[in-house]
Amino acid sequence: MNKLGKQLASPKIFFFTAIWLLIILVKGTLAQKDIGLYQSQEYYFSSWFIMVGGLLPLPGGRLAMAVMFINLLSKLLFSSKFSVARIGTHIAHFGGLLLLVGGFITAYYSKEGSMMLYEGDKSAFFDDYHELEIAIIDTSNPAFDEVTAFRNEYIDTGAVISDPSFPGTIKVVEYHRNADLYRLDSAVPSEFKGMAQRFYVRGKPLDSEASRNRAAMIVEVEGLSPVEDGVYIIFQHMQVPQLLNGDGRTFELSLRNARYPLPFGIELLDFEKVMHPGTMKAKSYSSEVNVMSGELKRRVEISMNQPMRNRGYTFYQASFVEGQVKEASVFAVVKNAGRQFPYWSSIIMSIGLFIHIVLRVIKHVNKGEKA
Amino acid sequence: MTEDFPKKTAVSLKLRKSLNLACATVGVFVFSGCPDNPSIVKYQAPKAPASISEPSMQAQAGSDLPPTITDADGVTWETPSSWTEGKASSMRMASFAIPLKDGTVGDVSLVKLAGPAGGLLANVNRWRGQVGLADLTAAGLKEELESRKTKAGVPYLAVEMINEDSGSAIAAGIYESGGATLFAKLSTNKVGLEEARGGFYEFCDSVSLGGMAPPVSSSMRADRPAMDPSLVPPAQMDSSNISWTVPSMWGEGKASSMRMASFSIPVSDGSVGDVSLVKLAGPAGGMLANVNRWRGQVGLDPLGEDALKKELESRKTLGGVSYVAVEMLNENSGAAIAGGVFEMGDSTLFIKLTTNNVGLAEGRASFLEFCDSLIFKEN
Repeated sequence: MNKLGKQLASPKIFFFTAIWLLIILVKGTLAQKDIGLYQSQEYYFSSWFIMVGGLLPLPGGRLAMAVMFINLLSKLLFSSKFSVARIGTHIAHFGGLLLLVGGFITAYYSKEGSMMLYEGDKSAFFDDYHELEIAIIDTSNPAFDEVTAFRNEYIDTGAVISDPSFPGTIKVVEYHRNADLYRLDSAVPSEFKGMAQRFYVRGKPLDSEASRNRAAMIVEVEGLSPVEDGVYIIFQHMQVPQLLNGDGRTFELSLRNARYPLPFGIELLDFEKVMHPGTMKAKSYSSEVNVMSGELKRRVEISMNQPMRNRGYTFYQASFVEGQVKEASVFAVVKNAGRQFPYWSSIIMSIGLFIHIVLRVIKHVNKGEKA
Repeated sequence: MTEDFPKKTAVSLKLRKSLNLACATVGVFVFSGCPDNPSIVKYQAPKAPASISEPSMQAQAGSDLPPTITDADGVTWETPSSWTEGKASSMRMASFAIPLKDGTVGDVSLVKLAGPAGGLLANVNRWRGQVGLADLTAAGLKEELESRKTKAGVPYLAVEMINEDSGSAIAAGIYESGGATLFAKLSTNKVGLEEARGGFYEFCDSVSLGGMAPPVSSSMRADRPAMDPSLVPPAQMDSSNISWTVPSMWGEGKASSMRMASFSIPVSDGSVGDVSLVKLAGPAGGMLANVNRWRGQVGLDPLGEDALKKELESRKTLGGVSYVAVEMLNENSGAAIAGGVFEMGDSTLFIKLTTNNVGLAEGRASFLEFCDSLIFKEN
């Protein structure tokens, strides 16, 4: 164990991993020009492997950072001599490890999305920027909707949705992350239902601007009734959901950005935009909101440099929509459990390096005195 | 045992053990912890769409939507239980979707316009154009109209049009009162009309006009502060006697020496579509040159005369003025332009929406509504 640990702690691993990280940093940054920021991040930095030419797997950013983490950890556990003279190095190493841990927590546990509210509107949800979900909404209860959302592996060709909340099964026949809809000129067989009677879907390459991609799915519904069973089309930003009837209930089927419920509500009271005098350039935007928790309401102002933090969520003033009658404010909503890690690890690394330098200086002075 | 080691080594061992434990805990947490992103999520949500919502009738009327809805002028109606409330807009006082057995959705709109809104014949012929039928003459129109009365005894006109070839169908109820005209319109197909006819006329019969007044223009707003302006489209007029109705979700931009008016359309992807109104003398180079100039702007190859004809759609405004609509979309770059071209003899008016594929899909309806709303007044 000790031998393996010492091998894993080899400084050569850190050296070559750091060089590889530098290479993919440059490559990923350059690739942003062609494939956009989000795709580049996903392909180079958030991936375990980068498939070159679709065949040759090379380590992705996530794997490289995991290797670096194991290397630093092994160095700390199996190869370091713990003594007062080296305490600064150990603290700096620990700070580096903490930074990587924060990176992993952010990669796995953070959520980012947006919330758009018109003045007077309330919301207790926000929509993910990129993740999608198939939402099956049971609308039969007059008081509220029962939402069942399917994410991750369900957003793919061949996925099968079968859940007690829905009396049938849904099979994803075709999934396109970016697609166009085309109106059909000819009649289609009777098994095509809803939108599929009039439109067909054709996939197209991903847009470099991630938000321009409009996902679409062709799904096959079974197990409801001969009238309802058939092939349907659902696509992102669809105005009218596909309606399915089964078991005496009505369901809405849609493909949408993953929607996350918040543990509190937000009500937009007023949005204000201040322009630079004599120009059409905005000087500042701010939103006055009520943060609602049960019956309690707390009035908060969110402005460009003053985000609001509440129960692990941070709301940034991101954008606005100027309507003829009402204005809408757009908030970027972030939940990131690893938010504090970069700050603390930087402080720890600084303290470690400071101690290391001080101890080295003392050692040199002592050496000088002895000489 | 540790007593046998030098003090320095004992401290080192303790430190190592503590660090071992701490790092192993962190390692286990990071590498074996399940990501906070479950594949199946279940929750209860309020009936109204919560995250991204337009100001709807429901929001304005409060969370408990009564079966009878009243607009600011006292117009009321009763919605059949199988209909679902759609989005109201600046043009539409209310919208409803009727789920139909064939999987399609019938679209019901309630639109209020000032005065006769171009006249009965022009409106009926505009709808006939939408379902692909030829225009009627004034005499032919009379045969198509049915006089009906609401529950309150107010007379209104009902009209239906069905294209037997394409299957497209429209039914409408037209109410005139208080210097304004209210249009209830069902757009569907032939089968859908048969299925939804009963509910649609129940809805039309339930309409009560109250003290219906014409839509309020911007200049009149100060005199009518009590009216909720979101329910009525503000009409705007430029110096050249052209007025238009701006959809409520559009933001007004700056006019310039070139642009008679500018508007911005928010798109769900965060981009902003740009609408411009530009009037030029004469034919301004002609339709082909202008359309090809726009095609160049979105990165498409120019068209020939024959190909151009296939791209053009002849439309009419609410007042019956003919214009040509055209769209172009570069599927590779996503760049898109929609245009409305009004040839007015001595001048040409170009209305142009510059956006992307998402913006075109989302903004198409409101752009055409805007083009349809143009009113040209004679000097």
